[in-house]
Amino acid sequence: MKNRLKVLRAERDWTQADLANKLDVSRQTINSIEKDKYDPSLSLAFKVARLFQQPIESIFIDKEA
Amino acid sequence: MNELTASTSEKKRKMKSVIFVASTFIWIAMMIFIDKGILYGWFASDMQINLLIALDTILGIVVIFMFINLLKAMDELQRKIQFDALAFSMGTTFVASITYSLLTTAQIVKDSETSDLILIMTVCYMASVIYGQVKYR
Repeated sequence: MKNRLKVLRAERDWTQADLANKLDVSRQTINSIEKDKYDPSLSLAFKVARLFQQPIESIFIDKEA
Repeated sequence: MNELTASTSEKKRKMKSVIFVASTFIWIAMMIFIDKGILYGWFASDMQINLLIALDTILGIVVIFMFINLLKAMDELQRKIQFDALAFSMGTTFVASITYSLLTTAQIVKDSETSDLILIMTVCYMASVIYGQVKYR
């Protein structure tokens, strides 16, 4: 699964640590999601969508779709 | 959740981690002390030995609950790393114990030692956690 997390974060001038704090996860988790090494759970994906005030499918893109 | 609460959660995670490592260390140190104490006759009576073994067992159970508590405090990626490591170490120990048992039955290995299996489990768990940390760096 691809995602636009890095772009959205950069637009707001947030560091990975800032985003990690806002989502209550570790910086390692943010880094792994941004590098497509790890797909977040549905609840974390919704949390990301709420934080960026965007639909979930505009942030996380299914490669096979 | 605001940033203040989030960073407090991170601090709590680290604190729980430190407490878990410290209690595990105390448990292992106590286990070694009892083992050597029995071996070298440091204890005055069987009652004293039984009490210390009971205390060590209770401490071991506390460590189990501390680990569960620590897992709950982790975020989802950290938990995944831990679960992968636990699955790998459990599987490896399971296979190793069956192989070990067969080797003992075939009398290729003379005395089976439980400590060998614990060592395998620990090494596999540690290696797998390190692998996970490097993979999801």
